[in-house]
Amino acid sequence: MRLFDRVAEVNAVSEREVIAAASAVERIVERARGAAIEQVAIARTLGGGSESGIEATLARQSRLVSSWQAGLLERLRKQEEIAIRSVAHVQSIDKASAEISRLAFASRILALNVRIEAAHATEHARGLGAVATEMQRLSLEIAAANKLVAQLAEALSATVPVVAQQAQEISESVVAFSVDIAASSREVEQETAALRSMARQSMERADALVQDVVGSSHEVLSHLQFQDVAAQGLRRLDFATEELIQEIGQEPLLADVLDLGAAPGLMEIGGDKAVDADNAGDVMLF
Amino acid sequence: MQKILVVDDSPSVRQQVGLALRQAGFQVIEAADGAEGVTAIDADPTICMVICDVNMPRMNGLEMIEKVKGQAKNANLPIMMLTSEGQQSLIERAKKAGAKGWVVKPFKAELLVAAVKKLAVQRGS
Repeated sequence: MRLFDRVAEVNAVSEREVIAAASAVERIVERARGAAIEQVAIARTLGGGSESGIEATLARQSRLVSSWQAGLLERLRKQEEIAIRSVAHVQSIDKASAEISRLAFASRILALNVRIEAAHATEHARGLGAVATEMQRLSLEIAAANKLVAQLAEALSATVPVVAQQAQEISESVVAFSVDIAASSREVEQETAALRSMARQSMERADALVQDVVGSSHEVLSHLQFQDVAAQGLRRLDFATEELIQEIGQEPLLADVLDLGAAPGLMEIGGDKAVDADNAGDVMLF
Repeated sequence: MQKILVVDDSPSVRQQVGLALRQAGFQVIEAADGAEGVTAIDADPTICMVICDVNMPRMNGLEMIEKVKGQAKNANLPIMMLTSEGQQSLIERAKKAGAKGWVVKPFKAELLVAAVKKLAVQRGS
């Protein structure tokens, strides 16, 4: 195989391999970025933003429970007031019932007096007797109705304290629940604070990971660039060899090329121009 | 996203420069020699910067920059040379033709990106 064919082949192979290596590096960087983005998304879900995430959800739940709790306590307070007023109403009913009993008794006495007077009077008195009878009957009915009212009042009187007692017990239960909820909320706050801290650290680590991978990829790129520098050197060697062939009129043996000392720099990668190793990587802005 | 034209006859160099610039958030298009580079610049006014090799077939980098900068519409287009050459005479010729920078291969990606960002800002302002 001729020297320049070999040079071309080496350049093509090395270029192919370098391109494949750089493509692999690019895929690594993209995967690292993708993983970091996923990590940040998960951290945000746990640590929460202003409206989303577990922390925000727990905070809304806590507010909901507090609001429900406050509403229930208010209802219980009103129920207690109603119970107290009911007791007062029952007492009023008792007084009214006592007064009705007194009136009914007075009616019976009056009816008895009327009957007695009627017995001493003339025929006129028979009418009064009927009136007295009716009065007595009404009096008995009033007494019966009053007795019923008294029974109802007694029943109500027995019920109201029970209702009030139940309201009191419910209120105490809600208060106890409030205490437990408050303690639980404090625990949740501590846990979410720890979660938020972990989320922040996770996001920082994701960012650092991406920076680290990008930095490593830059390092790889700087090493892969040797291929281009070497390829240029080999092409210059190839060109110099072609010139030599034209000069001597025949294709030289490899040994002849290696022996040549008159053409300076031919043995160095870079042909007649050595790679500017001292200034490699320098950036000059004008 | 700012668009940068990379002109180099080596596919691996175009790929490596492109990779470094894309990671830094730039859009990258490529040309394989000076003639392709001139065509690309004429066809796309959204190119905000050019990174160009010196030794290329058909039209080398110095010839390309002299042709591009010869047009008034490209007066503000920053062009940075990226090459293994380090001869002062070549650097002076590029500077005289209007180049804004010179990077010696093999380049360090972070330094290249920093220089590009600086020149792109200068063009933007």
